[in-house]
Amino acid sequence: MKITIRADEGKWLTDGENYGKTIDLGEGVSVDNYTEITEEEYQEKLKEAEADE
Amino acid sequence: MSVNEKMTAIADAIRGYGGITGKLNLDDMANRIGTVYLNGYDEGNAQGKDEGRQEGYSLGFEEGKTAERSEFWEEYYTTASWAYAFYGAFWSDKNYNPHKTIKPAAGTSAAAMYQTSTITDTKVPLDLSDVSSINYIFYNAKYLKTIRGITFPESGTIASAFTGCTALENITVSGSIQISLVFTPCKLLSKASIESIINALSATTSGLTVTFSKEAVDNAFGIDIDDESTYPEGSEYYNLRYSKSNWTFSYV
Repeated sequence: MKITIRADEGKWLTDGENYGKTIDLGEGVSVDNYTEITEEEYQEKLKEAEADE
Repeated sequence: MSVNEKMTAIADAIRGYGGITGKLNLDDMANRIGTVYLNGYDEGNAQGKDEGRQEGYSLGFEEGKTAERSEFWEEYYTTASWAYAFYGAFWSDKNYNPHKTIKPAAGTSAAAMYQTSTITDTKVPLDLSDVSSINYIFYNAKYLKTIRGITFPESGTIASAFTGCTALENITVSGSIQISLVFTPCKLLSKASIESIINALSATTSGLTVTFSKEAVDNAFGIDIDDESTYPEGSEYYNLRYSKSNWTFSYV
């Protein structure tokens, strides 16, 4: 079954590793894997990720 | 013209071409004819030698440069690590001249290989199938327009591989993609490139995500990702996307 989820305006969806505004889920992937975060939280995550690398 | 005038003209010519001064009688003229020929011969010979030397030098110089350049690249290909190999603005289309596939050795890193370079075209295939990392490989390579024949590793770290890679239009993918990849900054990706990426996505993995620029996909296929009526079942993009239904597609 095709499932697409979209973040609200100004927000992002993430499964903890990948980020997007519109997510078209692959087979067997649960919507529950995704949370919505703000732009600020997204930018913070990016900085954390780059600091780790 | 009288005979005397004709003889004077002949003498003048011999003096002119032979570089001779002074009065010439008939015997002198007969002897000096050889001088005229020899002077012309020597002059032609000298001029020919000089021109030949110049041309030979130019040709030799260019061939020498080419040979030295080839020798440099042959040596460079033996490098133990390709990480940071073309890092920085120094590397441009002018000095970046690889001549065959770049394939880093198994277990080595290709991290930051083209980071912040000004190269516009990778020119040769990149076989990264055995590397341990492609972190930052094209990070801020903001002039990079074409990536030829890239084979991605099956595992390893791939963080920020395409961050800042904003000019990328053409990418040809070889092999099978078995890692999540992010092409968000690549708003200019061509239709053929998006097709190449999607076609290379492994059909047997699970839990992986490919992230595209929404603008790139919308423009390439004439659709609006946020309006599913623009790519109904059976349409070109729908068929392409769902040929890899095991993958999650993310759009930014």
